[in-house]
Amino acid sequence: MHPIWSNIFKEAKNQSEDLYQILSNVPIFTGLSRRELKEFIRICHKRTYQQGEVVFWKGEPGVGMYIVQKGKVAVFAGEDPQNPEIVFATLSEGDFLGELALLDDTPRSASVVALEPSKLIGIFRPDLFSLFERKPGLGVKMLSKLAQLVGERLKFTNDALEECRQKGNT
Amino acid sequence: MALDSNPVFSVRIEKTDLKKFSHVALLALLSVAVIWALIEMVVHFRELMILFVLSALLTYLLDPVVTFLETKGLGRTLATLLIFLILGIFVAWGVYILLPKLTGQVNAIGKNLQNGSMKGVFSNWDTFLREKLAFLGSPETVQNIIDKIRTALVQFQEGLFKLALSLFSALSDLAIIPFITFFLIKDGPAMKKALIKAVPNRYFEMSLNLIHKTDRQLGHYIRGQMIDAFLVGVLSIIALYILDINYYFFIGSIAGLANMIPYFGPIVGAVPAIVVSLTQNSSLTPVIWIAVAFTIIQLIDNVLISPIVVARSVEIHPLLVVVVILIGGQLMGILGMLIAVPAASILIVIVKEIIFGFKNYRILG
Repeated sequence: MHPIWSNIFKEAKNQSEDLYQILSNVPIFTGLSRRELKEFIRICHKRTYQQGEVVFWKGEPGVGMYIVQKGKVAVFAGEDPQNPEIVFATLSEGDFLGELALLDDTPRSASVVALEPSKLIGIFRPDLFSLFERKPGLGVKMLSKLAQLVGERLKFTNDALEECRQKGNT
Repeated sequence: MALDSNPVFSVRIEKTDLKKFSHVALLALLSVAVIWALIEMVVHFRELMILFVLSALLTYLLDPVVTFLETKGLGRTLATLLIFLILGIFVAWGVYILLPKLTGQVNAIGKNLQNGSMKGVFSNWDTFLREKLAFLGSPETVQNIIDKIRTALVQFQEGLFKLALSLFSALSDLAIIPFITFFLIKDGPAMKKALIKAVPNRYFEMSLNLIHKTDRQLGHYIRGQMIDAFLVGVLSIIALYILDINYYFFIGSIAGLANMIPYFGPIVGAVPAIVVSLTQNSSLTPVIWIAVAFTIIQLIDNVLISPIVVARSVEIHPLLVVVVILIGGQLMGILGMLIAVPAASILIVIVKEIIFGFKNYRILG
């Protein structure tokens, strides 16, 4: 094969391998076979953000989740991404955000900004539902993982609430 | 102190307004450019556009079947190939069984026009009309009316024949449609992804929503309309066969296709049957039966078929429907009239989504 073509194919293969590595470490995709992950890779949208560029704003309709492939993003409250009122979390490679938007289109609960040049992978509800329609078994596996994650977060929130109540009583 | 009296703050407001204004102006300019490019494409690449439109229609019709096969474990490429194989067998069978019937009927129209067998029909009509129009008094006026009706009937039959011939001659062009359709079905999702990749981050989520909703809306509309046209076509063929109207298969098929044009369609579908019946018999009774049959078919369509199969389509004001059909007819002829309403419904979905986007996403910065 001509070096130009072999380089192009090598790059495409490397990109796919990168995506496989990243997805397999995201909790909602753990335990899925390589073939099953390939189905998700097909519906992934790769986006590049400049430093200071807003990924989404609080209140916008949620369309899907993002996984940080490279760089760093901050989840914040406030109108100015340069001077946020509160920074809830800073997320880096392998972290994910906005996963609840995979279930419905409730507005985003916080805004997200890229703290440095970042690459994000977007997975979106319409694509995901279309995939589930074609591969229902895959849908069951992924949604049960998502339910597990949401359940764990609810449990964590309940514990934190209980702790606050107890602190309030004392 | 009022906020805008602060020079720093008022400058900031002006800059923000200017930025927003430039964004709106850019969007408006872009929209005008896209619409202009689309119209230019329709005008200059009419034939190519028709092939793509027909391929897209077929893609929307076949995509759910491919999706169904995918749920059974087949890959998208294999599922698409299987569908094309089955469809190929059906088309070959259809050509073998139906094409001789259709060509026979088209040839019969041609022969009727050439050998002057219409003359017998016209002489019967002459007598019939002379009796019925005698109240007009002057024989010249009656003859004038008869001549005009005769010319109109011959022109109509010639038009029907030319339409059939043009359909057959278009068959060679149509051979490319399966190829385009195959790749649209197989690589459609990848094409959509590539399209989205070109969208700036700010409009990314909004564009995803827009493409998804337009696609869904169009899919429902096209599939519904095609099933509706097929059922109306079958009912029309049966009715015309029972009424013993010549070229029943050809005219019934036209009635089915024409039914996809709102308001005008049912009339366009019934007129050929009435005209052929008038040239076939000198009595008005079959015409009345045709009118009754087409009215019953329209009732079945409006009460039973349409509400079930053409669901979830965009509500468009009847006046706008008429206007877009006329514009479609001006731009692309009959096909333009067929695609006018779905095209208008896409535009309405796009406009609605853009307004939704302006309200819910911070796309203006």
